[in-house]
Amino acid sequence: MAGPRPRLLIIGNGMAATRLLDELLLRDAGRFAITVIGEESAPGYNRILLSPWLAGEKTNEQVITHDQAWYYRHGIRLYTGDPVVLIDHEAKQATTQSGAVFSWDKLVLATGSRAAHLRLPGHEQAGVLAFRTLADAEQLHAAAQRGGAAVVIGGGLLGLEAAWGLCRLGMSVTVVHNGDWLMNRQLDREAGELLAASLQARGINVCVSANSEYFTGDGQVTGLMLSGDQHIPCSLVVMALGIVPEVSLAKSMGLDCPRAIAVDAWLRTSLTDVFALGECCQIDEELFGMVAPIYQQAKVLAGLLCGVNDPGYCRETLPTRLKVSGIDVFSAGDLSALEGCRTLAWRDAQAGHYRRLWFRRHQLVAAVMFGEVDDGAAYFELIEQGRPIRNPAELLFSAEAA
Amino acid sequence: MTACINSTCPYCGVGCGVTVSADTSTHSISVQGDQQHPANQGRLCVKGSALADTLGSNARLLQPQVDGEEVSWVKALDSIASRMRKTIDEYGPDSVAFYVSGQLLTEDYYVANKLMKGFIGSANIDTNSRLCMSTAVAAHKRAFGSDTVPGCYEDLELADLLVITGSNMAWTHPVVYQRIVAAKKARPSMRVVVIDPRRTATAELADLHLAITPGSDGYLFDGLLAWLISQRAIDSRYILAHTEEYLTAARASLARSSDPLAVAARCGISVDDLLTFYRWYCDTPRTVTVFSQGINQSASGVDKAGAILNCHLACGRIGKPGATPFSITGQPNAMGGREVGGLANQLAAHMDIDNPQHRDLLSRFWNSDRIVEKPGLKAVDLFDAMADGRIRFVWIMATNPLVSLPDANRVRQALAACDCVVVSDCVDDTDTLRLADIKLPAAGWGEKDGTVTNSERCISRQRAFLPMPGQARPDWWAVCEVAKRLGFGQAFNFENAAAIFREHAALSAFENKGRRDFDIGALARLKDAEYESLAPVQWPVPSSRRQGTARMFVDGRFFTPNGRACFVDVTPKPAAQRCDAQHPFMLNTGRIRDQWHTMTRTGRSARLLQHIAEPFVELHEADMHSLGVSEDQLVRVHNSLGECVVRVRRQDGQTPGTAFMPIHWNDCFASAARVDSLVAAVCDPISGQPAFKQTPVAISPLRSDWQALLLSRTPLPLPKNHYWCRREQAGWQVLLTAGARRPTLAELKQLWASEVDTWAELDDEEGGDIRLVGYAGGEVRCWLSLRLDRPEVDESWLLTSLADVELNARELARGIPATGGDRSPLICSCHQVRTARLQTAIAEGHCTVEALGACTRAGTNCGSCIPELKQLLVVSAVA
Repeated sequence: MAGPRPRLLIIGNGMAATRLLDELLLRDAGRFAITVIGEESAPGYNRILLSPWLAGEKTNEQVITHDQAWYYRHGIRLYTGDPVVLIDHEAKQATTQSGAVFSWDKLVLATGSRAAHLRLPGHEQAGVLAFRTLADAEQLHAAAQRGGAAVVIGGGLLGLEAAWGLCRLGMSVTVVHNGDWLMNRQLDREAGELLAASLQARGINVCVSANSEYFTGDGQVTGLMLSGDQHIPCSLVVMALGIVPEVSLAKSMGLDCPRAIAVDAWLRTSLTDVFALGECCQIDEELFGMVAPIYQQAKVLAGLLCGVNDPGYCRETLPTRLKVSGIDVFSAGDLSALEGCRTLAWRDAQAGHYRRLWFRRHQLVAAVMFGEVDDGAAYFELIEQGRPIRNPAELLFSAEAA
Repeated sequence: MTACINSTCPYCGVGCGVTVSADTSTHSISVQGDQQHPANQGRLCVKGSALADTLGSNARLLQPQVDGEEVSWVKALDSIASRMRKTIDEYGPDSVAFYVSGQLLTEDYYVANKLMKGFIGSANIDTNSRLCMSTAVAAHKRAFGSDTVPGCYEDLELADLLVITGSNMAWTHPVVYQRIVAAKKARPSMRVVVIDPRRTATAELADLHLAITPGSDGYLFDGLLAWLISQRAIDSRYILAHTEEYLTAARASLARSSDPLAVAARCGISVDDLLTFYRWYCDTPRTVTVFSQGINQSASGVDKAGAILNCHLACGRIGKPGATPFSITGQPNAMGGREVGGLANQLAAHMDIDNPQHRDLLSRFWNSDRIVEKPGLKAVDLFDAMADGRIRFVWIMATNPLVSLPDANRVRQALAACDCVVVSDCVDDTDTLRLADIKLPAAGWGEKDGTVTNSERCISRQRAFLPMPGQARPDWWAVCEVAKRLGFGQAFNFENAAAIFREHAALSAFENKGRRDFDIGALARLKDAEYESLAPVQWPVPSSRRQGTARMFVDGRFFTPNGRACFVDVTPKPAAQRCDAQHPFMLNTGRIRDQWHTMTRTGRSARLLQHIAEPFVELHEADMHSLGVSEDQLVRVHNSLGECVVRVRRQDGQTPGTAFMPIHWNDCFASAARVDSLVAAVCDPISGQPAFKQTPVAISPLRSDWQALLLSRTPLPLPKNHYWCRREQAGWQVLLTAGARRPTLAELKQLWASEVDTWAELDDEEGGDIRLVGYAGGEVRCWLSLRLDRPEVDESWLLTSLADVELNARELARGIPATGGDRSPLICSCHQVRTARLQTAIAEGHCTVEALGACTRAGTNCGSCIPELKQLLVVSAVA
């Protein structure tokens, strides 16, 4: 081979980055001299498994997907615990907090996102934590060992998982949610209320339509004050309010960042040889939080870098299928756009099952299931296909009926 | 241990022998055809095969009731006797009446008739046979001088030409029909002509089907006589030797009906078809004409039957193997009732009220000076007399006149007006029982003991093999107990049914000397044990001929005073009522294959309700189109007398402009399906038999905004509706209902809240779909599907699955198994074979009834569905 290998620098070592590495190795292992710089001190791990890890359902070994040895084995240089703080695009160089300088021929930004933070009075106190990284999870785990009461702010998926984890660790947990029902982006009110009822049956308190005002405490948090003078005493607060794309480096390079780093379908930024993927990027108006589209991006980008003429990233909507504290929940379709839809529901009080479908012009547009989700995949497929449905009630009873 | 006992089926007039096997260890009872019985030789139809389903003490009347209170028999009998005596004292003997039934055993029938006509001194005892056989009785008596069915079933098999008129035998008398099918198969040269405005299942066997204008049979047979004369096909020697009044009848017939073109036009058939029939009749000495309700239930029925008899007499085709007219009866013991004089215009043992010698004979035999001297009121008149106060006490036994009499709503008013209504029945709820002042629990089939006579004069034993439940007692016992309380103890001191039978037999032979057709003198001295083991025997059974008699009039001698049969100058008439602009449809009524009468028994058998589960009106497709109705839609069938709400069934065997409804459904099974509430009380002037077959009606679509299927463990209140139809199946109340304003999910749950602790539900307010599964204590208590259209479910799957704990509510609510059940119409009730299965088999190349039977078992038991199998084969071949 003529000359040295081109240098590929990847900033960020989250799931987007590790998947990109997997895809590159699969295609052309020796093509690039690869360097990965991670802010966190952990090597590659599966962030999705942090909740079960917290709940004690997964071990460290199960969570770590790419350990130091893996990088070594594949000739990839990994720097952890030392975030990049400066990028000189002209010089094609990146400088880390410790002053190390890395040059690149091609740069990938995989900086991910950060937990949204509620900057209420008292938020800086000890005991007010986020739940985003392995380090966060370890901190929560340590805090939970002391027992007592915890408040989780945010009744979305992450918050409920954190609540369940803490509950399993023996804490008395209250979920505080400002929506009118839990998981209000994925579930309709009825499913959200069923979810709240079954969480309560498992010992987790749920406060919906709740506005947090401030945290009490004298350096160590002692509680959360809600509007209406309701005080919830606790020694631990977990913020689980969603994520904010991490774009500060990108902005410093002058990249266009409406909400995240703007890239095209091949993950190319407006600068030559600079790419971005994962939660830190946006394609058209679309932002990313789920793993599947990010994995697709990794595939597209790897192909591009290896000179393969793959089709670009193609938007796909995805169902939410999850288990919250052992309760199966499923959601597909955009629940915020159901005005004028025909809807029908099935309730089985005895079994604790619920499902609801929404139809527009004889097409299935959304589905929510609670307690029993086997038909979820089939509903999702129907939503994607937009196949006309002759008998909505039959479909509700059984997805195979369509 | 299995104990076997031979008895007789309680349904139609074929009178099949059954063998009942009771397994004493499992307490299970099975019913099979009696291989030895001459009527059926082991065959049994689907109704007979399902007899075991109808047994048991569930829904039985078990205790006498007086004015709504349960009382002892002593109290009930005392009440009847005192109310009867008071009525007689105040208003005379003709103010009391009995209305009895062809379902009674001969012994029950005998004592009831004896009490009324011999001791109370009124002939106001009539029977539901009036609605069924009285026309044939009158026609027989006019022609033969006696009520004699000349032939036997074997004649139907021996005939070279079998004419079936006014009978859908394939459904109403399936076993005789199957015998004919077998005979025709063995001897394909045998010709069958079916005369029926409808193309029925029976017509499947026909070489020629004459779909005549409803009610025009009289013209057809009058024309036949004229044709026979003009073709010189008559048997002059027979006419001269054995008949009288031939010339009168012949001249009149020739004058009226000698133009086949005119006759064909009258009958609404092609002259080719008419002449084919006439020629076949001319050319076939072995001709049998079977007639039933299509002839009998007519305002000119006696003349229609007379026209049939005239033709047979003119050709001498009577009393010979394979040559006879044959009236086939509807009920298991219509003939027995005739033998004891159960009709208001008869005396016991085929004797006549207006014959002084007969009255004298009876007076001496019964040792009574109260023998009636004038005929009583016939059924329709009898109930009219209740309405206007001439009759103030009635005892109804084993029949449901509120359903079966014409102008049935007027019958309700009549019973309501009658001071005292006594009803004996074996079930606890019938439309008639609801109006009873006194209810008596009667022994049912399998519990009662006695004899019946079938259509071919064959006397068979009906034997008890079950204990009588609760306080149920035989009807003869109740009648005798009342007679004793009225002071006639000596004449009613019977210790058992056998004793009654001996007296009945003795009376038939008393001073008979061959002058009266009905003579069973050889049976008058049967010991109890001999009665117990009495083998089927065809009467007459005089002392001189103990083996009985297969054919009558073999010697050409009749029971008229001069021994000659009498030609009758008949007057053919069209249907008594005409359609008009307001009532454009001519409604016909009749039985369906798997039901019997008013469903008090067959309505208890789940499998008998699978063939046809709801009341319906059958229409031709062209009429459905002009009415703007589709199959299964609800319609109102109505006229000035009443209204029914039933589903439309498309039936291309129906002539456009005609409709057909079954006689079975009633207020216990449906909201408004008593077809006889539409039928006017127009009767034959001689026989008094009502014209049930031709009723002008209007038909209007009924718009339903919802239809529902409700299954529940116990009867539940219903939301406001305009239609319901219920049945019981596998321990579930199965209810179909429909209405205008749709009830909400919340209203329904509220309605049934007391039965249910947990609901599973489909909420589709917008789409109109509601599904509910109600649980109590973890068990399903009710199941509902409510939609715009009729709910589609796999009912048999559902009924077995509701108790299946493996299935969740969602699977149950769906109503069909996950693999997709077979919801196509059931064809073979015996083996539960459905249309879809049969169509698959046909597609696989099973193209004969036999091959289908071998492949699917359909049609291999009772054979009742074979006509439908044939139809399916034809349809599939065309497609």
